[in-house]
This record gives sequence, C-alpha cells and structure tokens, in this order.
Amino acid sequence: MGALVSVLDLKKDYKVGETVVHALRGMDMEIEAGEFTAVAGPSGSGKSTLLNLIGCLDTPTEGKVLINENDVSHYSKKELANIRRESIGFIFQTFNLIPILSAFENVAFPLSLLHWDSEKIQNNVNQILKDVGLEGMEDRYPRELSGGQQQRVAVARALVKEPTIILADEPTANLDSNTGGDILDLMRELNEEKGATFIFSTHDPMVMDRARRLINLKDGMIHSDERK
Amino acid sequence: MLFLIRFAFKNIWRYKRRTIITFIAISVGIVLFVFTDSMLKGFHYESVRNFIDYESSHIKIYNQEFYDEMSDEGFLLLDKGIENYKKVQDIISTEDISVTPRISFNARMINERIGGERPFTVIGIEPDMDKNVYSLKESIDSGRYLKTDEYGVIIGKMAAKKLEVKIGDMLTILTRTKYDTYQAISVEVVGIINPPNPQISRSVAYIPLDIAKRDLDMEGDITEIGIRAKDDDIEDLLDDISSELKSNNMGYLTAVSWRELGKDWLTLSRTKTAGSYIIILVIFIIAAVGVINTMLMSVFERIKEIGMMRALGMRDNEILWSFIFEGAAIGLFGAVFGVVIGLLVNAYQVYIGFDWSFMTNMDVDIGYRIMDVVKGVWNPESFIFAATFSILAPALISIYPSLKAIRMEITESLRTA
Repeated sequence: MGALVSVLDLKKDYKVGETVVHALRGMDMEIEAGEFTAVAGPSGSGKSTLLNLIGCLDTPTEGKVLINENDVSHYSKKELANIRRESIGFIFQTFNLIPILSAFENVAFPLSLLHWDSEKIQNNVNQILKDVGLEGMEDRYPRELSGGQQQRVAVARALVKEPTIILADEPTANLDSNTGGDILDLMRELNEEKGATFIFSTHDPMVMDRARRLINLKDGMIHSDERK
Repeated sequence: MLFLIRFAFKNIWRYKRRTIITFIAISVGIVLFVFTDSMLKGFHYESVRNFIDYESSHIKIYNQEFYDEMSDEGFLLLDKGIENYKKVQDIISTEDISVTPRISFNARMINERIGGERPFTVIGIEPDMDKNVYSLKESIDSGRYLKTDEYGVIIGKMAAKKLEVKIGDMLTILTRTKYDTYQAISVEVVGIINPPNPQISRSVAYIPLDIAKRDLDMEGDITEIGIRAKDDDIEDLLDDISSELKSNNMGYLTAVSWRELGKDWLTLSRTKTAGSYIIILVIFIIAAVGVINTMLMSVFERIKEIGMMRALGMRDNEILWSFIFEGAAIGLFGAVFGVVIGLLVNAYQVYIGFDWSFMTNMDVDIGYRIMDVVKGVWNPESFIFAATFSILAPALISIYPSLKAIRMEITESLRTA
C-alpha cells in the first residue's frame, strides 16, 4: 500500500513581472493516511505553494503529485474540481464562510455539491456540528459567531464529507492563542477519532508543537522532516 | 440545479438596499413600458375609430381630379364632382354596406351677431343617409340634428367656442360656387356637436345636402360618396368597387380606403409611436445599467468567495449558473412587482382612462384624432415582453463578470481581499 500523498521532484515557478520565482525547487516527500502534519517555514519558503499543489488548486511546473497513487499533476480543471469536491477538505486562515448561509448551511454546502439527499445531509451536518461543539448554533449566521466559532464551522465544513485529506492554511493565524489551542485540540481529536489526515501550513509554534510530524521548508526545499 | 437556484435566491438578499434599488429600476421600466404601450395603442385605435366615424368612412369615392387636387393642394374643386351619383350608388350598393353622398367645400364662417370669422370646411350631408355612415348624430351636444332642406348648420363645440356662437345664432358661409362665383349662405345654428375628433370639432360645419347643391350651383353633382362596411378590413371591398366603377365606364372615379385618406396622420402617429418607444428604450437602458452595476458588483465583491467555492469543488459551470440564476431572480422579483403595478395602472387607463384635453384644447394638430379621455388597451404581449426581457437581461448580463471570475486562478481568487 503506497502513501496517501506522494510528492516527486516537485517544482513550481511563478512569473512576477519579468522575474521567475522558484517557489518549489524539486521536493520529494510522502504523507501517510492519518498523519497530523505541520508544514512550517519562513514567508516565501513554499508552504502555501505546496499545500495548493497537494490540494489540487494549482498544477506543478515539473514533477508529480500523487494522491492515492493517482498522478493529479496533469488533470484537467474539471478532474481537479472533482478530486477537491470528493476527497479534499480545506480550512482557511480567514474562515471563508459564506455570510448569507447559516452555520448548518455552510457545513452542508460541500454535501449539496455532492448531491447527497437531504436526510443524509441533515444527519451528517448535525453530527459534525455536535462534534465541533456547535450544537444549538446551527441557525446562526457567521456574523453572529465569534472567530473561534467560525473556525469550528470551517473545520466542520472541511470534515463533513469525510475527505481523504484536510488541508489547513494557517488555521490559527486569526485566532487568539486560547481559541487557537482549542481549535488545534479539536482537529487532533478528529484526527484520532476519525483517522482524518491533516496537513497544516503554519508559522505558529503552538501548531508546530502539537503536530505529530513537522516538515520545515526553506527556499522551496525540505530543510527538515521530523516525526514526533 | 435546485440547490443552485436556492443559493441564488439567498444571494440576492446579500445587499438588500442595492437589490431593492435594482428591483425598483426594473419595475419602473416595466410600468412605463406597459403604460406607454397601452396609451399609444389606445391613441391609435381611438384615432382610427374617430377618423373612420367622422372623416373618412371606410371607403370614399371621388372624381380622380378632385381627389388629386385635394391631396396635393388641399383645394376642393366643385367643378370636379361626381355626376349622376345615384347611378354610382346603385352600382356599388350591396346589403353589407351603407353609402351616403356629400359635398365638401372650403368656406369662411362669419358670426352675424358679433362678426367673428374663421376658415371652415363645410360639408353638405343627406341627414337620413349620413347617420348610417358617420356618427355625427350621436355626438350632438346641444340643439338637434339637421333636417333635409333647411338653412341650418351644425358645428363643433370647439368651433362654436371660437366663433362665440350658440344655438339659434345666425352664421354666414362665404364661399364660391361650382362656377367660381362668390356666394354667401345664411344659416341658423341648429346643433352643436362634441365629437371625439378634434379636426371635426375645430373646423368642420355641416349643412343639408340640398342647400349645398342649390346654393353652390352643383346641378345635382356631389363631391364624394362615403361608404361604411361591416368591419375595418375593406381591401377586398375596395377592389370590388374599383372593378365595378371601371366596368361601368366610370374610370374617372376613384375609390380610396380610409388608410389612404389618413396616410399623413397615420405616418405621424407611427413616428410619434417610434419616438415614444425610443424614450422607453432609454428608460430600459437606464434600468439595464442599474442591473449591470448590481451584477458586476455582486460578482467582483465575491471573488474570494468564488475562489473558496471552487476550492470546495464547485465546478465552473455551477458557479456560472448560480450567477445566471441570481441575475434572473433579481429580474423575476422586479418583473413580478413591475407587472403587478403595471396591471393596476393600466387597469385604470383601460377602464377609466386619462384626460388628454389639455393637449387637444391647444388648437394645434397633434396628429391623433382624440379628445378628452382616452382609454388604454390591454396588450398581453407588452407584459410578456417586458417581463421576459427583465428576467433574461440580468441573467445574460451576469455571464460576463462570472466568466471573468472563473477564469482567474483559484489561488489568485483566494488571495483577493
């Protein structure tokens, strides 16, 4: 059985004006199912680029990204959208909830895209909202929730379809340390209970501390890769 | 798809004030469109009715030379009349039509009491036959209808006001006979009519045909025969009459339809209608600019959200459709509101009507044959067109910004503030 995610000689270049920026310079790594991994490193080290490529939001300049042994590097836009829809959950730094939808509707959104029937949606959404500690807040709109509660909704939205991978881009950056800690504990619980695979990009020492694997990037290359 | 439609309906309330302003713009556009369309059609139908009932009948028969001179120069040449008109009547008469002879001539009318004077077209009519073709009798406002062979005159209410005459006053008709000699005919005002046709009310007077024949030395001639058919579609009848005239060696006579007789004002009416529709088009464009603005803003303000939805696996075509539905939903609400208000305003116009006498009383030819209250017309097509346009336009407008948004890289969209 191969790794859940394999990255092979991954390179990504960006053109900024006339200058070519080498965001990733040939990276190799594997992530196994059920890992709780933080990708750390200074700004410009390639953290977000790596997550975008694993998350099928972008395509590499060279090299391969394999998810469940399928090379997604040359997938069409539609195929990438299908992978994201079915297998990947995202948690964003700024929560990115849809303001006109209630907490319940925000969490149900990815399931509606998968055309689940309403009873199944109802059951799954209520359960996950309970799991993230938002029972009774289903009908609240994002503006009626605190930052921590909004990020819990975002975590629930990422997990509700039981994806293969959950990618979190600096999930604690907009939260105070207590709330950030709570969110991390929650994600770790869900990782342990549900076996969900989490990959974070972060600057936050607290996230690095709680991750079970820490990959440090520097100048688009893996500087260190440590399992705790 | 149902999910996308529900999502679109939720999204239109994201910016309530902007959405309501857009609804109002669409609704006002619809109300103005259906109101103006109904009004213009009402003006047209009413004008056609009043033109046929009071001026042209359905078909008129003239001496070709008389008709040419009347059409080109406005002169009524009494020496170019219709001889032996009773034979013509016999030739063309069928059960389906009514006919009446008339003598039309130019004159000046003088109020014998105070001396005021105005130019008129005076028409000699056969009272008993004329009422079967024209509607003068029904429009008597005061006094009575004409009797055969009396020195009486009927004039319109507007003319009576200008000449300051009342029932029983004497008027002198100054004109020329068939042989171009001056003639003055003294007549008593026996009736004042208030027809819904300003041309008639303003400058036409009626005397008995016998008096006109005798005092204008017409020697039995008349200038025209008016024909009333059962309905306004008279093209076949016109062809039949023209053929009958030709086959009976009456080629010097011409049969002319009401459409031909009214071509000047019908053209004017069409021009006015086109002008009015241009104004409506401008209103629609203003409403469309409001909708374009709303749709552009609602897409461009949500670039980051669109990026997030794409990250969650929403396909590009689903995003495109969600904005198309959103545009259509805005249009739908505007259309429903606009159609309801339009129905109410138009119901008032159709069943009660608006008073346009401030226009007709200005003593200028406004082209339309209308007076006072004119009622509108129900035209379901105008409602359907306006509502369909209002729904489709915002839906189509939303395509451009949506395409622009989904052509952005997802990572770029997510970086947007």
